Amino acid sequence: MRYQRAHFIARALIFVGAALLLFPAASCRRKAPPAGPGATGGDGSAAQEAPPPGKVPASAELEALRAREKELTALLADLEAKGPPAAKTARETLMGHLGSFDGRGMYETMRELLLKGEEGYRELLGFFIACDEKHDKILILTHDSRLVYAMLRLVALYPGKTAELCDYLIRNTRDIPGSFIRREIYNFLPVFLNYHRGKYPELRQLLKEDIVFQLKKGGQYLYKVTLAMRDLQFKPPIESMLPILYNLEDSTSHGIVIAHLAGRGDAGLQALIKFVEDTGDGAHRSVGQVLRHIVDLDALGRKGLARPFLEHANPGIRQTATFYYFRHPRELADLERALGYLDSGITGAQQSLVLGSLKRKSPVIYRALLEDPARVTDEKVRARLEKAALKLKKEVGDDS
Amino acid sequence: MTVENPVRKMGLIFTVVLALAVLCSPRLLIRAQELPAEELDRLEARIKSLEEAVEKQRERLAAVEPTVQEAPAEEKLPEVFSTAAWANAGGAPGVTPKETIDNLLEFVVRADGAGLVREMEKLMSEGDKGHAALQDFLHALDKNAELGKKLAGRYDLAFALTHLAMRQEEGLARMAHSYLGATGKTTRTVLRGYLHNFLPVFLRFHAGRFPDLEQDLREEILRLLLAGDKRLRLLFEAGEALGYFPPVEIVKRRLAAATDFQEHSALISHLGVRNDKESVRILRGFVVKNMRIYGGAVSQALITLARMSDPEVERVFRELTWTKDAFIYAKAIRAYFAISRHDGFTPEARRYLNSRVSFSDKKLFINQLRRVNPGILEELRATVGQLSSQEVRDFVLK
Repeated sequence: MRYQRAHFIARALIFVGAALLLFPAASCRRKAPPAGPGATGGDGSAAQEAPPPGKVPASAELEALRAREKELTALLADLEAKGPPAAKTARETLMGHLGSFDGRGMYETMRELLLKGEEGYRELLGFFIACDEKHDKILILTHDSRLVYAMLRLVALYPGKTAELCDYLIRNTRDIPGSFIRREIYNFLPVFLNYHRGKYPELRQLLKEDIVFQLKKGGQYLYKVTLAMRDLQFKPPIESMLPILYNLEDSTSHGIVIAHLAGRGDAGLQALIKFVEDTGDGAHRSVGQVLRHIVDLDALGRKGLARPFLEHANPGIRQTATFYYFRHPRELADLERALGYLDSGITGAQQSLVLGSLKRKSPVIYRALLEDPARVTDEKVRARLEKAALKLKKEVGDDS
Repeated sequence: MTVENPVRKMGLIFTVVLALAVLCSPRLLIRAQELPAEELDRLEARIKSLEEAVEKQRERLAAVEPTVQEAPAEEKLPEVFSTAAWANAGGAPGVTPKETIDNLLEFVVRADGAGLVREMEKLMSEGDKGHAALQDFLHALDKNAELGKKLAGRYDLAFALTHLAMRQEEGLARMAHSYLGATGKTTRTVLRGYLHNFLPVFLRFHAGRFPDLEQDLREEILRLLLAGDKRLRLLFEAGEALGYFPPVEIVKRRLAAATDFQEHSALISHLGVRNDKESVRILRGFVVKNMRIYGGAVSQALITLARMSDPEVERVFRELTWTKDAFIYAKAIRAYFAISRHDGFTPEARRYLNSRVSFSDKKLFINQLRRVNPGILEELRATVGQLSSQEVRDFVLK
């Protein structure tokens, strides 16, 4: 009896314990989450299965989190689709317009940057530099009518912002004088400033200062710089031009500088004379060019200007000056000078040229030389003169 | 006798049930299937990062939207502006007082662009009367071609005029259309030439804003082409800028009738821009017919063909490079390799170098490879043994 009672109690306890323990397990089985994404067997929405807050069973919590994840992923995708492509920079956009010759697109993007102020100017400068690095791109940008139109429209509609941008470009490209951007600044800005007639005096002043700075640094795009100087009616200090002139190793821009100084009156002339004296190399092309200018001025009425060079102690300078001296008509009084030049060891080409000049421009001297070729000591010149004299005699004989 | 100890039995059953219950508990069930704690952590981290990304994207969008809203109203695409009425009005020129016209001409003489634009803007703002004066001014410029050329040819004056074009777009469209309408029977005036240059760019930028002017310009291009106008390049470029391609039959007819290089060149370039099957067919016909007549134009046509992307092009080159005529072969192959080709074209280059074409032609070809296709030349050098002629081998390796 005692055993039976104990047995009964034990069974009852087991039953209750088992029931207590198994119930949640059973309920869990009913609501057990799927093993994997493909095992759901349905797509019950998160809202349907979300447990009430507070008393959240773990499985339901997991399910809710999964639903939330799904929801956020979809939301993000939606927002990304609505928004601008996050990775595309302004420069990439501009490059895209450049590649597709999209004038309207270029205009819109540039305008947006222009209106942003300095931040936008930085972007634009970066874009211009990137184009400059791939030279064909800057050529497209500055030559394709669709893109040029877009930029001109900005210039016409936003002159104030354009002036600010130019200011920024000048200041930030000073150390890249070979950049195409600078070429375009010299091309464009003087015309822009002239059109707006004194509206941007600070920018005008900045451009002038920049011209002087660039000249002192060696003057890249010198031709464009001189055009800018002409358009601005700006005469930079003479000494700012001299570093280019005194760089004898690179004489490519000397012609422009000499022409400019030649137009600067006495101050320019003095600088040119000093250049001849300082260099002392009569054989240098640029020195020759200066001497020619001096002799030309002498012939035009500045009497005595050429004399110091015709009698210069440096034979190279003397020879070159004399060579150009005889490119103008001279009288018999200069016969001795001509003889001296012909006997000064000049090259065959110079002999031919000066004899030709004398024949055309100073026939009196030429005839005197033909009459007595022996006065010339240089054998080659004498032979030439004798040959010419013989030819002349023959011609005269034939005529008679 | 074994008597069951009830307590022991009860303990045993309890243990089994407990074990079963524990095994069936929800947490463990989940853990057994998916390691729920890790899954929870992963999900929580993922949700956090997603929430951040969503927030960032919302901020980005919020930052972009005001900029778009802040854009000045004038930058929104304006409505279509009709200019047809003024183009057809005709009008009686010469009603403007002489002083007004002389005053405008004086600005051109003085090269005062800013002053001229200011006066022109003022006249535009006066409506019909001002526009009549502007028409008289343009006709006066036509009578003095030198001043007309100066107006559009000088950089500073042209720069000033662009301001008028940008600031008074509708006024300019009206003025230009009116002028084109009034001088429609005059095939050539200095200003018409400049308008043919400028208007297509202007109209293209404004994409459909001035449909009447655009339509009339297209019709004028077609009319001039049909009338045999010699300014083919100008007309084609104007049409191309407007996205207008005249009927290809006209181009074909003009190409057949053309006798000078300028005409040939403009027509060939235009066909290249069209870049379609029919253009390829016309160019092929021109090449075949004129191979030994118009050498320069044929070379241009071949290079134009090589640049075109229509699939028909390959067939044409196959035909021209599988011929016994060395002259045609040399010309075609040089055009074919005048554009950059990848290494896959090396066998074609090698075939030419092993052909019976003269050595001088091969030298020209090799020099062209040096400039345009150095990769292929490198490949030929690497496989120089496959070239049959010693002198060609030497020149390739040079």
